[in-house]
Amino acid sequence: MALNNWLINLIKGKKSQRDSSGNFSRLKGELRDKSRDSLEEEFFKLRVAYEINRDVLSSTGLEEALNILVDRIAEVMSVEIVSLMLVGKSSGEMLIKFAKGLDKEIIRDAKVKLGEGVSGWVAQTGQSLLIKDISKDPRFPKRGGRYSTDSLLSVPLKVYDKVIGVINVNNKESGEIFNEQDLDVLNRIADLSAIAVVNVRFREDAKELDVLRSEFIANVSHELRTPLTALKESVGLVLDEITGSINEKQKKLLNLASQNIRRLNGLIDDLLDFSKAEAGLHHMKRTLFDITNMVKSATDTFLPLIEKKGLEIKGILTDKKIEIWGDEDKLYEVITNFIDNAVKYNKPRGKIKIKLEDADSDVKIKIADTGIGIPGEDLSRLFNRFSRLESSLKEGVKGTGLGLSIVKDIVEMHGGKIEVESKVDEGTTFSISLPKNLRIRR
Amino acid sequence: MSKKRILVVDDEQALAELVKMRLETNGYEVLSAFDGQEALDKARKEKPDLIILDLMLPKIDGYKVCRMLKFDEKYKKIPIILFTARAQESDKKMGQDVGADSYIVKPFEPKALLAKIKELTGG
Repeated sequence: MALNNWLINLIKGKKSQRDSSGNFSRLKGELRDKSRDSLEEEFFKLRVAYEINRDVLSSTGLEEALNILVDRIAEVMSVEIVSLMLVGKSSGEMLIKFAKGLDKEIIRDAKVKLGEGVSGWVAQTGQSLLIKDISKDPRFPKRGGRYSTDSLLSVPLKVYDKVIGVINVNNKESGEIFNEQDLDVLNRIADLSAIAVVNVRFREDAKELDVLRSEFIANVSHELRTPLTALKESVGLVLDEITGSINEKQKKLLNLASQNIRRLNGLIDDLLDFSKAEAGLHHMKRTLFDITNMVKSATDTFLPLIEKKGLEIKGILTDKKIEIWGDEDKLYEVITNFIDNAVKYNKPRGKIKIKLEDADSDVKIKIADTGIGIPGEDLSRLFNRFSRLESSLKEGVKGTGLGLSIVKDIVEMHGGKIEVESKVDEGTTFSISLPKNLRIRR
Repeated sequence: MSKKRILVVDDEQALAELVKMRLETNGYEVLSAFDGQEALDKARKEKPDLIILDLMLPKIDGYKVCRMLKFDEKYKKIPIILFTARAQESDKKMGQDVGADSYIVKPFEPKALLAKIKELTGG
C-alpha cells in the first residue's frame, strides 16, 4: 500500500521535476535507487509480518506469544524500550504484561488506568500517538515517572475497534526521534499482534474447555463401569454354575448377556480414547520436517507385520526431501493409521501401495490396498464420529483407538484434505493432501 | 490347612456381595468392609491374608487406606490389590506409589482375579 502511494507521489513529482530542472538522467538514477530501497523495505515488512505471525501462532501460550512480540518489536524497530499492556477482562485498568528494557520492579508495579497518561489516552481513544518531545505536549502536562523519555510511540492493539491493549516504544537506539514512518511500521505490527493475541487467547480457552470435557468423560465412564461390573459378575456367577446348574437354553441367553456387557465396556473404552485423542488436537506442535522420511519410517514400522500376513508392499517414494510445516507426531499417527487399516482390511496375499506425490504447494500421500473395500453407503459415514465402532464390532477387528474422524480433524487442522475411493472386494485408496506451508483452520 | 481370609472393601454393597460369593466358592473366607474407616479397623483387627481395595471410598479413600497399611511395620506384609474402574496410567502409577501389590480394573475377569489372589497369598 505504501509502495503504491509512493509510486503515485513519484509520478506526480516526476512531472514537475522534469519541468523545472530538465535533468532527466539524474532523476532516473534516483528513481531506480529509491524504488529498489522501497521494494526492499516492503519486502522486509512483509517478512517481519510473516515471521511474527508464524512465531506467535506456534507459541505454546499467551505468555510466550507476548514475549516473542515484544522481542521482535525491539529488534525490528531498533529501540531500547518496548512495553506491551493488556486491558483487564473486567477492570478499567491495563497491566504491563511484557516489557523489554524496563526494570522488573516497574513491570510489576505498572497498572495504568484507562484515560490516564499516554498509554491510558491511547487505550481510551483508540488512536495511535507519535510524540517527538513529550515535554512540549500539552495533553500530558504532568508527566513524570521513574523512567522518562523525550520521544515515544504508543499504539493501540485493536480488534474490531475494541482496544485490547497498548504497545509503547521509547528511545531509538540511534538516538534519533521517531517519525511518521516508524509509527506506520508499529501500527502494522500492532494490527497483526492484536489478531495473534486474540488467536492465542481463543486457543487457551479451547484448551480449558477440553480439560473440563475430558474430566467429565472420565467421570462418566467411571460411573458407567461400576454398575456394569456388578452386572457382569452377577451373570458370570450364574453362568459358572456357582448357584446351581443351568440348562443349555439358559446358558445361551446368559452368554448373550455376557457378550453385550463386554460390548458396552468396549464402547466406554472407545469413548475415553476418543476424548483423549480429541483433546490433543488443541496442542499442535508445528515444525518444519521432511515428510518423505516420515512416510518411509512409518512404512518400515509395518514391514514385519506385512511379511507375517503374507502381504506385498510397494512404496513409490522419491529420495528427495520434501519439507512441510506441521505436527510431525500427529501426522505420523495419521499415516500409520491408514497403513494399519490397509493391512487389517486386506485379503490374504493382498497388496499395499504407498505413493508420495510432490505438487507445487501441496504434497499428496496415497495409500492403496486390495482389501475388502467399503460399500457406497458406508463411504459417506466413514469419517463420522463413532462410525468405526459399528463396523469393527461386525468384523471383529480391534480398533487402534484413533478413529477416522480424529484423523480427518488432524489433516484439516493442517489445512489439508482426505479423499477416498473404494470398491467392494477390490480395495480402497486413501489420498491425503497436505499444504507445505502453514495454513490454519479454526 | 485353614482357609485364607480375604478382606473385600467396596462401597457398592452389591459388588462386595458378588465378589464375596465368587471367593467363597473358591475356598476363601471373606470379610467385608464398605468404607475406608471400616476397612482400616478390620484390617488392623483381623489381619487378613489379603485385601481387595476399592479406591473411591467414603470417609477415607482407598489410596490413603493402602498407604496407612503399607507404611506401618505391623501390617505392611498384607498384600493389597487395588480394585477400580479408573484405568488411566496415572492411577496405576499412584497405586504403585502407595505400595499396592497389584491392580485389577473393573469390570474384572474372575479368572485373573483368582490367579492374582493365589499368587499373592502363596496358594
